[in-house]
Amino acid sequence: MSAAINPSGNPSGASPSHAAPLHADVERRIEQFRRNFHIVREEVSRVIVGNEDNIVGIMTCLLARGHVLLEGIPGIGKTKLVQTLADVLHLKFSRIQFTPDLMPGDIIGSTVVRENDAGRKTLEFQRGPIFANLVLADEINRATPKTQSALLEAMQENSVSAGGHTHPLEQPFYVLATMNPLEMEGTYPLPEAQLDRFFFKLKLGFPSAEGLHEIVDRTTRQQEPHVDRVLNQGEVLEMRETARAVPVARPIQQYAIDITLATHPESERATQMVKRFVRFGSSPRGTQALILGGKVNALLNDRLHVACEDIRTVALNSLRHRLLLNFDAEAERVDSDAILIDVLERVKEPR
Amino acid sequence: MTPEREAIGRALTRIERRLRLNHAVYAASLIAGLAVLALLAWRALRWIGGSAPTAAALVIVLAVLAAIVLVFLLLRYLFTRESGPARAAGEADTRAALNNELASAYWFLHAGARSEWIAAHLQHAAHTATGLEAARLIPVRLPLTSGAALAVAVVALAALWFAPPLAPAGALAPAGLLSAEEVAQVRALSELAEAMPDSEPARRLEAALRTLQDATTPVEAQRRALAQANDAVQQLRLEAASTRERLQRLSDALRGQPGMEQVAEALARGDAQTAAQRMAQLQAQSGQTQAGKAPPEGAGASEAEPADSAGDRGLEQALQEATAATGATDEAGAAELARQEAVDRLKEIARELEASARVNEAWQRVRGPQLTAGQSQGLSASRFAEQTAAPSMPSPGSGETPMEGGTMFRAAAVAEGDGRTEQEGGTRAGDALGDAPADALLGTRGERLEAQLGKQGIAGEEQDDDGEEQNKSWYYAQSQQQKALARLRTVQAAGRFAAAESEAGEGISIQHRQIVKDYFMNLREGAR
Repeated sequence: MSAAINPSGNPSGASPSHAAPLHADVERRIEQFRRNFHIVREEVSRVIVGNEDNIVGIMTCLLARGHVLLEGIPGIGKTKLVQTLADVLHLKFSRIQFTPDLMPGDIIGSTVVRENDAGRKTLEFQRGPIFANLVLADEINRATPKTQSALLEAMQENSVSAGGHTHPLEQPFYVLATMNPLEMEGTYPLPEAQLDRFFFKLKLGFPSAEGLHEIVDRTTRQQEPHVDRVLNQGEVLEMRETARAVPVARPIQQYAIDITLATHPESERATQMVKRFVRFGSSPRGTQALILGGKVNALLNDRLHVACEDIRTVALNSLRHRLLLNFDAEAERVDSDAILIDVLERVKEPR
Repeated sequence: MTPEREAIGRALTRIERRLRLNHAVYAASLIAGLAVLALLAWRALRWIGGSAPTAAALVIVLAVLAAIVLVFLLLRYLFTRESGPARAAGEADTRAALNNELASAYWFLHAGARSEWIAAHLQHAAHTATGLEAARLIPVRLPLTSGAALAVAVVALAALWFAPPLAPAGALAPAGLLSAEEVAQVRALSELAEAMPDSEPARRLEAALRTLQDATTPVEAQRRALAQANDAVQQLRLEAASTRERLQRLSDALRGQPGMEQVAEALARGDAQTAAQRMAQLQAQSGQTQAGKAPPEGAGASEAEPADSAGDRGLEQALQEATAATGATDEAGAAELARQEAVDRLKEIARELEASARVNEAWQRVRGPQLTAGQSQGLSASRFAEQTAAPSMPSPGSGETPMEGGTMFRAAAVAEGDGRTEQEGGTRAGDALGDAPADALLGTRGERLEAQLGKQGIAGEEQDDDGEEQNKSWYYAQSQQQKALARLRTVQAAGRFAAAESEAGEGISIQHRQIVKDYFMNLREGAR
């Protein structure tokens, strides 16, 4: 309803930088954040066809200091997406292909005995592939729970303990785990408590016919598209700081909490669908993800504050892996997305 | 007060004022709705008048329900209405699509939060709030549904106000209840009823028929008269049936009397007219035989007495006296008198029966079928349910429930234990005796860890990846014993492998095995 706003005033949605003279530092940081985000998205889109929402989701996760779980059938570009992101971000990248015989030491590293020419033996910690900025944990559900735990512990603590020493992981430390939802035989599905460690769970869908044309065009030429490194480690860390600085008003926080509570079947705010199909609702980490994701989304939408719309935008990615459904939901093929959509429709905005 | 706070506060005050105005308009519309509803109901009742009591009752019920809903809406609105700057900020955010900007700003101001980002946000929100036009953002108007409902109610009220009455009382009543043909039949029936001997049902029937013929009688009164007429006709029919039964009993009594056979036969048929004629013939024959004799005293008085007055004695008594008379002069006179009385009484009964039959036939032509149908329609809901309900079925647990393709039984869910009764040993499910033997140890015997591993010392100091020097002077390595054991096992395994290979190859040594194999392969190829 822009008609209700005086032309001399600022219509909603316009960039804050044009609204009024803001504090210079805030203005600069917002502009830089938006520009960097836009550049990364554009650069990744040169290789990855479609999936704009997932690119935004992965970037949101990176900037909110979280880790992301990618779910999709084989061959739709999960690994390619992560590799491209690593190329664009100019960060140290390592890939771990999870297999049932993968041991924790293969991820975090191990202490080995070295003997020099003089016969002198020394113990040395060989760093594992987890010592990188971007870690692609490919098919994480194929490794044993023991190995999964090693990775998840590192994700939570941002450090690795080996040989009685704690080795801090370099920031940004960002784990992108992929999971194949089809071939479940011989896998070790992540328990809910460990799924909860992931900030977002993104679902990569199958591309459309136009998308497939574009993929074939890009990947069957003599030269595949090349991306440039457009963002360095320092800039990523600065963007993280910017995202954290966005203020959140209590009513908006209350809205995020209402959504979280509405996913709990025993709560009085639970919807009928939640009471019927959900065994356990989201943890407080879900609320944190809603707020932090909302902050990044607010900056992307030229806002200096978090709005309910931002919370709704990130709600599915933030909460879908935090709901534990019951047998009725399995029997009736009701997934967590449908339940969350119902929750979002029923939880009222604060007025 | 900062300029941002002032600008935001001013804008929210303007918006709050407009919201209050809107609230007042909405409350007024609800009250107006109540008034229009009352007028509408009153006018609708006037319009319907007394012609359609069902419609009138429906109007009253609907009006009461609508009034309850309106009062509920009004009370809920008055008690749950929120106001204040926070509400104004939320409303402005929603209406101007500001994405919670003003609500957030108001909260930051209210909570006193301070930071560079919040200051920037407040500055932006103040600029937005200054540009808001409260009058255009929140125009004073009714909600669409309320306005539409009120408009429809006013239009309906106007239509009812100027509409002619649905039905003037009384004018449409005859046409509504009885057709013209039926009215003519009622008139004929009334004449028949007037011709009937005087009795209580006949009087009631006449009164009811008079009411039905009156064109000014309301429909409801006509309906009542119709029911009364029907009751009167039923009463007449019952009395006629009772009279015939009485005649039947008299017939049985007279059957054995000499000379009265024909009278008894006519009475048995219920034909009082014939019986009276036969009785008159008997009287005439008796008069001829008694012609020379003086007439009995009091006969003149008897003749002068109307037939109806003899009804006190009753027909039965008169007939008994007539048949019991002997040849004596006095008795013959009394018999003559009794016979005359019986004849009169029988004629009277014949008239009554005939009139009753005519009235009944005429009534059947007027309303008989309709009344029968009306009676069947009056079946109560519970009675109807009793009549139409399916016969009750036994419980499935009884094993007697008829089902398509078989009979459903419940089976026990727990099997009995082996060789014991349920009381002794429990059941197969959940058999927990607690004396099960321990499982056998799994795996082969292993060496102690201390024997397999030995501490290996490291001379000197090593540098950690962190850069800090630490003493890590030992680590675990294979012990001497373990090394020797491993070598021994390797040698033993080689020997066992050679032995196994030679046994599996039926005594052919390994070096010759390929030659033998090739020979037989070639042999087979040659045989082909």
